[in-house]
Amino acid sequence: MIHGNVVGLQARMSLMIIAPEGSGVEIECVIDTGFEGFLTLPPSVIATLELPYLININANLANNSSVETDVYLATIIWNGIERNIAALAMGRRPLIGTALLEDYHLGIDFCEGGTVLVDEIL
Amino acid sequence: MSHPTLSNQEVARRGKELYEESIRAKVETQENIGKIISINVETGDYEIGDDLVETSLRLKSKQPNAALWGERIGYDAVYAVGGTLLRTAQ
Repeated sequence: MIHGNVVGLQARMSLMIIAPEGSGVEIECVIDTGFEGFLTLPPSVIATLELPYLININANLANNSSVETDVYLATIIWNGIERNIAALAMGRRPLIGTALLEDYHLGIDFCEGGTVLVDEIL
Repeated sequence: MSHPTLSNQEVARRGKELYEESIRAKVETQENIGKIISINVETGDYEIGDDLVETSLRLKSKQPNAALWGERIGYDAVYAVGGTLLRTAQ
């Protein structure tokens, strides 16, 4: 079970990212159900963590523009388990997408300070 | 800095050209629509699968510094970030 909170009508949740040299860094992310990937991270965070470069792709944004995006390899702790996921270098606020939530239940109480809960599907 | 020798624009240009001209016709089959393809833009080598990390790491295991371009087979982008993936395959 993973907990977060609603802040300013955004469902936020902390994600533990393991840097290649082994230290863990907690990053606050917004859960974005309009994002079908795993994770976006600001380029400055990727540079600080020295995440390894993986690949370049096209991503389609809300204004229907396609942007070429650098993708990096991020090792995270998700529900207690270490996972390797694709992190897109973009934006100023880290986003958690639906690929990371796949096969999980997401519950959000949409009021200031409300509970965000990611849990196994019963 | 993403790739040590090729600019992002060059990786994208070579990747799109390789995919459209020599790979797409071979891989755009009904069972592959929606899957991920990672392409080594220097060798033309590629890997198809369900996960961008897995397909990319398979290519990097053969050439660690490979410049890679990714596509979602049959669609115009790999991920929608607030947008919508447009199906391009029939």
